[in-house]
Amino acid sequence: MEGIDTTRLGDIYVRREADIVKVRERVRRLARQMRFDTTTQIKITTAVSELTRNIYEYAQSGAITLAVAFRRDVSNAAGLQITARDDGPGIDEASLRAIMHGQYSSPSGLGVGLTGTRRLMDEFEIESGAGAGTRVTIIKWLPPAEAAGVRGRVDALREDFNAEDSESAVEELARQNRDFVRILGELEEKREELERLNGQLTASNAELNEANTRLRELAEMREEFLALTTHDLRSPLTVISGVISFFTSGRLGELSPEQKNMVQMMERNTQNLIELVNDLLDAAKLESGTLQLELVDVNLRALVNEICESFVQLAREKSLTLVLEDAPPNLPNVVRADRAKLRRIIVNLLSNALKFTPKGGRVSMRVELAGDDLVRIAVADTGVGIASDDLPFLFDKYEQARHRATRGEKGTGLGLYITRQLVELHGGKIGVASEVGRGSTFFFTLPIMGTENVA
Amino acid sequence: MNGSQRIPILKVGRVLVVPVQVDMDDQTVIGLQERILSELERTGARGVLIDISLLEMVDSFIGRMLSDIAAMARIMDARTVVVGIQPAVAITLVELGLELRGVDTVLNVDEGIKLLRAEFGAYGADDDEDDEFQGEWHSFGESRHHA
Repeated sequence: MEGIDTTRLGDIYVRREADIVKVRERVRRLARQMRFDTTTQIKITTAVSELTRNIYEYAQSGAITLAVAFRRDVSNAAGLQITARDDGPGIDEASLRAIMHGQYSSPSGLGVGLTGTRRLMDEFEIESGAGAGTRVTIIKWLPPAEAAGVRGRVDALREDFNAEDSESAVEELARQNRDFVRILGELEEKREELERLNGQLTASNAELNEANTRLRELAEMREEFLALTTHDLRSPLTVISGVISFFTSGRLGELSPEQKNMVQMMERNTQNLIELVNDLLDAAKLESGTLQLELVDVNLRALVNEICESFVQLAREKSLTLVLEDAPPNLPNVVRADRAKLRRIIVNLLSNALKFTPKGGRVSMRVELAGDDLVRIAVADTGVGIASDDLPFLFDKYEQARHRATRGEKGTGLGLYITRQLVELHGGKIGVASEVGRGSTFFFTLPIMGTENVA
Repeated sequence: MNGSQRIPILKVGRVLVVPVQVDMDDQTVIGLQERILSELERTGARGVLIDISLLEMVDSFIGRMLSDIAAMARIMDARTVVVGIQPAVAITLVELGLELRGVDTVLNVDEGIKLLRAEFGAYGADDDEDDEFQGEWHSFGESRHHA
């Protein structure tokens, strides 16, 4: 165009219909970068869209050239110049005149396109002839405020424009496609990894289940075995102890002192054996949770007296002093407990005390209130005592066997374990205070009203 | 793949709502035109509401296609309303000298529905299938009577 200098930014080729959208996008972007206002951006884009469509429709291929235009006069105006050219059939002079005067309308929109484009832009120039192709040049000037700035940015605009050009839509698609393929691959890998992990988990789950089942079976077998053996052991023991009582009762005639001595030995050891079997049976029951309490009103005072009396003989034999301290007057007459189990608890503690107290020692029992709803029963001795290291494990199962705290004494080591279980079944607590060489005090509490707590 | 598949055609009551959210190339516009016509036939819809509020450019081709859609829909007894033309697009259309012949243009979807509703009301009030539509836009129907 006359009086106008241009600096070319780049070309966009029009070969496919999709290129129309591409041209629109890139021109819109360029117009934005040149800082045209939004409405003008749309006007320019629309005008270019019309020109591009004409190229595609009438010549099938052509090119759009974009440039920054500078007016050579004093106005210093700057703007965007767009040239659309094709080597198509061109337009003869008469038709061109008709088109530019709005007297031509085509079914495809041509006519409106060219005249409309001229109205949308500031400069418009068309060169065409029959068989000579068509070349349309349009310019939109920037507002003066933006025009000054654009001179310094021509290189940046060109760089931007061409950087974008280097990646065509097809390449962009191909790149996205590659990304998708890569992501798909990664997803596939992750899925396989997950599947593998899942497989491992399933396998180890199955193993765990199997081991669990096996453990349960073993536990059941062990309990069954214990119950059976104790039962099978108890039956012959009962018979033996019955037979022994025939000898001791004198119904089989008077025994010689030596025979009497031996029968007594048999009786004592059989008794020990029976206790041991009973302990095992109780431990098995406690373990399986099948031991149930039968709570009744128990006269604690009477029970304690009765138990003490039964131990008087044994204490005398060992030259021990057995003392039952006076119960406080406010002690309730009855407590709710399982009589047999409560007896067992007290007997266990008392017999332990007598067992571990050397000749001449003293064993005492005290019953007292411990708060509003608890009684506390304590058995103190002047025996060997228990090392403080052993105290924490004292009420564990088979403690005696493990720690040999009671070397040389008889027992399964189940006694205190069972005692603690029985106390806890009643909702009470058991404890011990001890000093080596000075003796021990075992005590337990018992809720007066009882508890249905089943461990 | 047909690009026009990216543009949904939603049936709301007896109106096809067509939100155009992408710059359309020519094939997409042609494809869309075909889809709208076949949806009209399939659903028996009475109105077409084309929302171009996200469209940044309407050139003569797209404008003519909108006119064509309206003309063809009219033959199929449906009214076409184009809503949400951006101010800059409107300015450009005027400068371009493009008339959207046969196309009613309104400001937004609400107004478009109101317009179509008024159109049906003239001769479709006892149409049972219209109930859904009537219920949804009841308030608009009311205000129309007051106006």
